[in-house]
Amino acid sequence: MKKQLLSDLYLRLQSQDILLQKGYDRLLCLPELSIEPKPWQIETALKALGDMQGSALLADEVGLGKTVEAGLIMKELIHRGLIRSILVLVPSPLIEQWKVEMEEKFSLSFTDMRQKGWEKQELVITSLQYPIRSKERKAKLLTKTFDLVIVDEAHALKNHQTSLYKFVYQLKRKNTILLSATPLQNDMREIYNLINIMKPGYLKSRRIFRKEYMIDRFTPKNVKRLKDLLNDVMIRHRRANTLTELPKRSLLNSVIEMDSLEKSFYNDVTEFCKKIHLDYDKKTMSIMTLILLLKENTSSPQAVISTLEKSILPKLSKDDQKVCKQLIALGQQVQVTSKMKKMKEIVSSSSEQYIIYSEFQHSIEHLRSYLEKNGFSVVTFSGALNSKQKEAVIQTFKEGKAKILLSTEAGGQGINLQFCRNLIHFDLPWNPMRIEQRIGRVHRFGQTKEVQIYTIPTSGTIDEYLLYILTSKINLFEMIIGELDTVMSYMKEGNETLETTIGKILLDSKNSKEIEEKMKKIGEDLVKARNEFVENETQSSKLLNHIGVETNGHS
Amino acid sequence: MDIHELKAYFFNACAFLHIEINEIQPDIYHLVFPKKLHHVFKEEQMNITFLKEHQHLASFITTESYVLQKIAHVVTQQPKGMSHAFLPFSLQEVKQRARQLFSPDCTITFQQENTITQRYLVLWFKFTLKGFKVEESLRAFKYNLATGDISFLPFDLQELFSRVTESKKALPTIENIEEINEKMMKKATKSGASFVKEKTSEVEQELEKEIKRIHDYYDLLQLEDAFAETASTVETREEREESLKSERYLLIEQQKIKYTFHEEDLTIEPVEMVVLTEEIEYCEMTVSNSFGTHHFTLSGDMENPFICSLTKRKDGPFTLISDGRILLQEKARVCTECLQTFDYTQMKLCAVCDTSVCHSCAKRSSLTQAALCSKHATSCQGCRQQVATNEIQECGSCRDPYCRSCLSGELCELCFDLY
Repeated sequence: MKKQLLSDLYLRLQSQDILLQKGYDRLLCLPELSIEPKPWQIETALKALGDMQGSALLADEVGLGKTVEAGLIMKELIHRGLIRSILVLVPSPLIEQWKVEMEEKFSLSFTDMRQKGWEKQELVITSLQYPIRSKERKAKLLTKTFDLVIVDEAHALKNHQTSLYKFVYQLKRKNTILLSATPLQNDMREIYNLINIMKPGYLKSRRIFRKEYMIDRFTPKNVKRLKDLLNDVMIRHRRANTLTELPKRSLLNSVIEMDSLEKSFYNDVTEFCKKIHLDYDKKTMSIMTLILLLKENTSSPQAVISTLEKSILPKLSKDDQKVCKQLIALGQQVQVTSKMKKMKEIVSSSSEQYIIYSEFQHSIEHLRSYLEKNGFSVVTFSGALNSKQKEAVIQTFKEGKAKILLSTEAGGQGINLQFCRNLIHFDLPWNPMRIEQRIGRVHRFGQTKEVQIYTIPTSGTIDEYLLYILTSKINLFEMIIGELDTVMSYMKEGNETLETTIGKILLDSKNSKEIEEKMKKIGEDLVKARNEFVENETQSSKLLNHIGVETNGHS
Repeated sequence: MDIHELKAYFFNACAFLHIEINEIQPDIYHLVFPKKLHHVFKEEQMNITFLKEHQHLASFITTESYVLQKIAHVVTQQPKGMSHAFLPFSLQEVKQRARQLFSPDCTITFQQENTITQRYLVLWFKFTLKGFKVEESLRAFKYNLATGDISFLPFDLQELFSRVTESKKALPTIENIEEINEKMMKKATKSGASFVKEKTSEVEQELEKEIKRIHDYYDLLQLEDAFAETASTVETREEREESLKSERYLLIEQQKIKYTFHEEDLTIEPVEMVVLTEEIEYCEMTVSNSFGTHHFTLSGDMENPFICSLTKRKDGPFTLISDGRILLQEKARVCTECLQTFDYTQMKLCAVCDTSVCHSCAKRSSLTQAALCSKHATSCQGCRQQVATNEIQECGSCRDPYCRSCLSGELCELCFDLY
């Protein structure tokens, strides 16, 4: 063996000593993340893991990234080899977003409980209601012991008499993380219920809690003692103490009219979908395929044609095949849509860079060729690229070598595009969470200019209805990033996603009036959810501020 | 690590890894990474600071900071070699301490000095215990290359490296190094149980607290149930009791699983090694005073060989007492009768004058059994027994001394008969 200087040995041993893990003085998982967590998020994770020993109520105000905090806690525990099994319970509209976020930011692959073989997986995600709707599913979960259970939008557990509460209470687990920006809403006992799930008996019995800490439902007593108790199990940051304000964002909405050819193609596709939906059973023609077709119909004929050819045509009767082929032929005549012309007009209006989002790869490809023919430098980003290719695309765009970045959402969760301020929704996802994710790529820390969001809804299409709801009813485009998650959690949990609901509205409605009415109902539900959330957030903040539950933030 | 140690470590590590470092303004340093480290740091250069107030200008370095952790990691990944350390255990300090530890009445001399050299292979192991948190520690063992004995290295890193120097001698050839490593691994594994025990006892309090919380809660619930007037049927009450019982049990079990460390959760990994040559000086020491002489063997690796035979304290100052034992000077007493020195438990106080007298010199009062010095012991003219001088009364007529048993009135028996 080669001789080594003693001073080198000392340096090596000092290095070994520095690398030793002594409790939770730092997060070791950071190098493995594709994001750079904010200081208060790191502080929260360290506090939850260290002082609170793995069980905590994360009650940051909306927009501060409670999901990232939960992700950090999970990742750190996994990185240190301390846990294996995790169960995440979230409101059903958030499952997909959670899965993608965990995968993209933390490389954690969760299996949805609706997937076959979930029992064998260590990282399981499901909606709050799904397990309790079936005795078998419930029993399966109750026999397991989880190293960590996470409940997002945990205000759903405010009532201890619900079957959901009783189910979560019974779950065998070593650690519990609850996430809620509104841990108490109408009654002080709600916070008791949340903490009692995490640490049964920490606040004694319900009766004693009421006697010792409540004057009435809204008024606490023995505030100092209550504050101390809560601060030992609860972490709450406020926006005012943490965030530096992001620049404004504005919505630039250009409603366009289709020409007669486009209109005829659009209407024929819609009618064709309705016919297929009526004539064929679900096994032959899945409703999801038809919904996809309807969504593509708001994007580009090229996207529609591809699905018609690949997924629809082979399954049709001879007569219907004929109709379908005619439809394809009609679509092929539409090469440059009014929407594309409008898009070209927008990107030509300034020398700045633009990000154009579409949900469909075929639309992206068609747009690329159209833009390039018109002399624009374009790069495309999609989930089909490997990580090196993705990096190269972003780098090219960042260096200003391309004016336009064409992107699908797929695989783009972890990317930061805050150096660009113009975003065009070429088509509009029917899931508002996806719209928010698109905006989140540019309207984030590091953005210095006002963000301009362009939408190009086509008059008389579902896009127009949807946009009306999202802008006029819930003001989506001005919401704080993250607020929509909480609003969605206040929506009554149904069995289907908003996308499916909208798709079914289109397929089942007799005329545009019926569509309008049904969409109006969705809008009303969203408004109701948002109002309820705003009211609860105000009430919650008022009470928590009165008690003094607050973690000092970083500015 | 304080900021100075941290800085020193950082600069040494940078030099070791060929990272260029320049102070570009007070307390802000510019690092330029060599090409081979670009992929590690994902940057070619960066600014760092050790002061929190400058963290908006440069990356703030603490022991937990990303950059330092990365540097430490890269250092440990560099090719290893074998170092040869020399650890002298000189007598100089031990002798000086010995002189200071004895009272001036003692004479100290040193004789027969010699030196023994021992060669060891020292191996550092990283102990990693995973339970509800990770506990890691570096522990070193030394293998005597001559005898094969394995013992724990009693120094922490800083202390060891403040004492060792680079050995001037060539590295010895160790033929059976793998066998030695295996033996040391066995020894380290054996000591793992105590590490687990130590860590378990650290979290035991936490577990007890959690279990108490659960018991208190369920006791309360049961009590509240007992007083509840709305209890429905006997069956539902029984069912409720049963479910509370099972919930309580399950919750406690979950806490036990969470807060228990198991030996199988411990991993031990050898990380670094060094050949250590210890040179220990020995000598004989003689302590003597008017009461006797004591011999000791001193060695340079001794902490303190002297110990008070009465209190077991080691801090001195010591003296030698009449029976030849070593004693803390403050615990030694001189007998006013024989002028010999004893430990204070061997002494008696005269009941009349409070002076110290040893067991052998002390007299006793036949009336009270109290100790007396010879000055305050006298004999009764009546019973001829030894008593204290303050227990004596004179006869009102003949003036002879009598104890209170022999003189009941003013006159002794003889004078009383005469009158």
